[in-house]
Amino acid sequence: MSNLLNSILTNNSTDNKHNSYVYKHTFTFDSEGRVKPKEDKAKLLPSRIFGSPVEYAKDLKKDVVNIGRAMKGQANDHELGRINDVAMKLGSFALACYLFVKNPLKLNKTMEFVGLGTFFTSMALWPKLAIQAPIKARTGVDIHQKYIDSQGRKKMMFQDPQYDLTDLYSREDLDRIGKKLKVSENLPDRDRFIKQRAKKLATQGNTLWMMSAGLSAPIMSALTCNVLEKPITNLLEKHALNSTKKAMEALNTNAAGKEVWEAVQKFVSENGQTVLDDASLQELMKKLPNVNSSNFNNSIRQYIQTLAGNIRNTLDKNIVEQAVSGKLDKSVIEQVLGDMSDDLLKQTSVEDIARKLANASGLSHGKKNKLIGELTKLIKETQSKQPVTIGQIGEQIQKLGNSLVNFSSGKNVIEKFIHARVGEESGTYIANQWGRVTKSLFKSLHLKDSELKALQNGGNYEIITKKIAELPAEQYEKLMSKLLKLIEEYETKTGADEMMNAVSSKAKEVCGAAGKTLTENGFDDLARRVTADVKAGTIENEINQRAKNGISGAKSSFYRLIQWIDLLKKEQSGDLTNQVKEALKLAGKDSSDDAVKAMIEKCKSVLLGATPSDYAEKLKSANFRLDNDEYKIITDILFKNGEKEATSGLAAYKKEIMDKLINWKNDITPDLSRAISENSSVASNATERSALSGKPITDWIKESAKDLYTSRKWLKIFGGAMIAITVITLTVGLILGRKSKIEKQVEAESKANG
Amino acid sequence: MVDKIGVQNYNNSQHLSALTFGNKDADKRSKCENHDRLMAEDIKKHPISTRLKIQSDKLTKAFTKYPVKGFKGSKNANFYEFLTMGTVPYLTGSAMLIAVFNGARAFISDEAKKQAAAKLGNKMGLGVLFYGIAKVLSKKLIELPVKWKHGIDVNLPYIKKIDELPEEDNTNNLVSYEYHKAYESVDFPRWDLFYNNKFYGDERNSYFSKIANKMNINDGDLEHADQKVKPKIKEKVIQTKVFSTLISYLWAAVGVGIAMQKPWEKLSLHPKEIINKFIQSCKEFVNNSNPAAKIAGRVLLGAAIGMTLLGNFKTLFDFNKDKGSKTHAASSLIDESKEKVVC
Repeated sequence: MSNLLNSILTNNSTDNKHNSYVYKHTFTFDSEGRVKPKEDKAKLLPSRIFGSPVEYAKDLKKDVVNIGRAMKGQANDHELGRINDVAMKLGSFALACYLFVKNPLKLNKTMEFVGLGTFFTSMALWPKLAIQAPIKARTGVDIHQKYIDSQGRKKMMFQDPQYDLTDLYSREDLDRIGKKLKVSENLPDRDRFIKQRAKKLATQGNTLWMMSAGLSAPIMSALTCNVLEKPITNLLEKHALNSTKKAMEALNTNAAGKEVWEAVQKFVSENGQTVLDDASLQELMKKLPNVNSSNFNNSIRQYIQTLAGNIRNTLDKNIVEQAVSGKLDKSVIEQVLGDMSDDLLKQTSVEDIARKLANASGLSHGKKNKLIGELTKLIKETQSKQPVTIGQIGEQIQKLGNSLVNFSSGKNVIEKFIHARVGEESGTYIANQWGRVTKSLFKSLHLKDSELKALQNGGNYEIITKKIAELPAEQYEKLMSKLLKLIEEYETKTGADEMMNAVSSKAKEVCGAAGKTLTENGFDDLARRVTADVKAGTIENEINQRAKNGISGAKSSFYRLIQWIDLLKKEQSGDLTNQVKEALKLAGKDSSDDAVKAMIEKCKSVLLGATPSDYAEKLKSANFRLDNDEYKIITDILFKNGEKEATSGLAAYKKEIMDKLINWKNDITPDLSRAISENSSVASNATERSALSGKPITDWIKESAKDLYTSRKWLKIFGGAMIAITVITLTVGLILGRKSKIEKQVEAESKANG
Repeated sequence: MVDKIGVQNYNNSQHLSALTFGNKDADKRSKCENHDRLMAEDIKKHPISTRLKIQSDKLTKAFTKYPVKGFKGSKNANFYEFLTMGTVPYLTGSAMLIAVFNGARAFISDEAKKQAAAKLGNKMGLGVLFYGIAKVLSKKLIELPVKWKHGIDVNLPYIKKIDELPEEDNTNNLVSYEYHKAYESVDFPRWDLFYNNKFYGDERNSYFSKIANKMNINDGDLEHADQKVKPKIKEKVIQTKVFSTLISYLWAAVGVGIAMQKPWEKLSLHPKEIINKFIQSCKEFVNNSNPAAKIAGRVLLGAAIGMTLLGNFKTLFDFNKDKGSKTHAASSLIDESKEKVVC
């Protein structure tokens, strides 16, 4: 070959241009001046499961440069292949960005990127972990061995089985692989035999990769997301708590706000001639700073409507004609108005015009005076009924917009602070913490799928009550410690009292400042809707109530759960039976076993189906039919702290919680009584009652069982599928590389020949 | 080694037989002739059915013949088979992705949650579907204009005959056929299949002459048309490939974005409703009630349209005409006064 090339090139020695190109790119000279191919610089790259980030960054930079070159029409196959990978990642990133923006919840937003990352990671890791690494450990052959060619391009050594690169293996590589593959030392042409086995393994491994990747990567990615969801939730929660706290601390109502609220200014200048009607008013409302209160927004809407209603249009001939045409002849109107110019009419008062018209009518003095009054009224009404344009009320609206700027932003900061702690939506601290409580309890009860299925339809609560009651002492202590710790976390992290103080002081500050600004600008009615001078219905009150209800709801739910579990354990230990028996005896009631049992069931039922705070209402219902003594007994059992004095450990902590429970019950009762109110139906105040008293245990069990059942089923289906795919892939990986009949024959013959 | 040289001077007669094929001389051609066949005529006569046939053949083999060969570690397994098997993870992965989001729906008893899961499941399922459709179809936005303007069909298929090596369990059935594209490699396009191809005309260089005409670079020198036009074709093929790749992922993202809109929360199989929902979703994508999503949708769509327009601009017009293409460098080495053959 080298002679042939030499000959070709020397025959063309006069063609300098040609020679210089060929020499430069392909050939060199040997020591005797003959042309020879350039030395092969290709070499294997270190075999790693995880690539270096620095190398990755360098490659990415190269790929980006290559995209630019390719756009000009300069690229090779290798570069185009890599560009495809980069484009796929960029496209996916663009998609994740879009979904991030579109998703309303922070966790979901974050999970869009996490999902993207885990998907690509799964695609990259699956072949490495399930195929490449096991095969390498068993045979020494890295089926995804990379090499760098003479042009510096990194490629897979076994990508194309017909392009044999096994010559790049060093002596040590071949010996190592040969040893692992147990290739006889005496085999003639041993190296070629090893190389063939390596190639065969790579072909098989690559096929296994193609067949398994599609099945495994999506599940692997989904499972990884499930695992990562918990730490991400914790991170987001921490960030939300810290950032809202900092924003609250930094909230300064004295800071100068914008003097001109530009959105209103723009809207008024663009729609100055637009008549104020329902549609344009709605648009205008959107341009005002958002105070995020439907009550207050209604007040603003009413204010604008009143403002427009009070505007009387400038007097002109049309208005006068329209107003009085039913009362006077056309000739009389013409007689008066015909002599007046528009400018003169504008300067004339309504009363004067009415008087002139009445004089012209020729009526007697008495009737004339009456007519003047009627005409004045008619003209004024018509003046007011004329459509009002946005431009006519523009100045006042602009002023209103300017007055609400600081209020809107300040209120927003407080609301975010409350929401991050006690908001009902998924992702808030209280929702997360409640999820943790649920998980801890259900985990310790080891519920079977069939039990969860029975629980999710409602009823069958004895499944769970029995499990709790029968928890071994050690596990019970463990569970209670965990739950109490979570509740303690809630108390400290939300810092219920601290939170309430912060909210009420900042709400006072923000609403006070807003009220002052509104008053200064002449919006007295709106100012009264903001500050706490009139308590009910003001925004300040709304803010405080929202925080209070949130805290109460959380406390209700947490404390009730502890109380319920505690009651079940007390029943199991017999303490409750004794307590009820004593109480019945003291009250002079029937204290037989049946009566005690019935009373215990009533206690359990009150806790299970209702909330402790609305137990009073529950006990008053027809189903229970309690007399005053029985009512007192149950109240004492549920709300009298039976915990013994203890200074440390769980017992002490439980006592503390029970004390808190009792205090909280006393604290909340007035509010709750107001919400329930003797004469109103409970349903009419359901929202407030629910916020105050939390969720009944029955609802909670039902919902938790549903969620747990579904996620467990999902995990069983796809976790099971993942295990099956992994086991099959690993098993197939073990079979790969087995010697063929001929290979066995060759080895046998070589052994026989010594 | 000889293959890589590519073009040799015809007057090196002593090495002629070893270096040339595609020569006008029938005796010499027979020495180099291969059995691969360009499918230009099939594509012209039956464009859809031919492509469907090719795709179904590749798809069937990707799930049957090639995995069997691969698992055996066949010495005849090749890169084409490996790439064809790449369809398998695409399809199984898409199906699995849909399953992951919909698999547990049957076990949800809460009606509200079931509906929420169905809404998300529908969107995710459609997202996978729209991703695939948008990715495939969007490439045509670059490829078809290039075909119309320059006459270069980057997807022009040819059937390749492979004479396989005998194996332990197969010593008789040693021929296999593969469907490749003439321009699938920009390093080694299958120029040979265009020479003397009767479909394009009676002359040896008819194809290249036609392309030269389309590209307005034909100076009437039919003999040398191939030398003149090849670098240009290569340049356009590279540009077409890179832009069609770039836009395919952007349009795929737009496809998923459209699938994520509200109208798809309730699926319908009625064609008219599907079209309506699609139109509504497109509107919602660019005019979402969430202002940030509205901007993001417009930016994403704008990027896809912008890149498509840039791709059309770059591929349809020749910006290197005056200064000379860099890929033209190799051809400038050729002494045009001498007779040449292509190898």
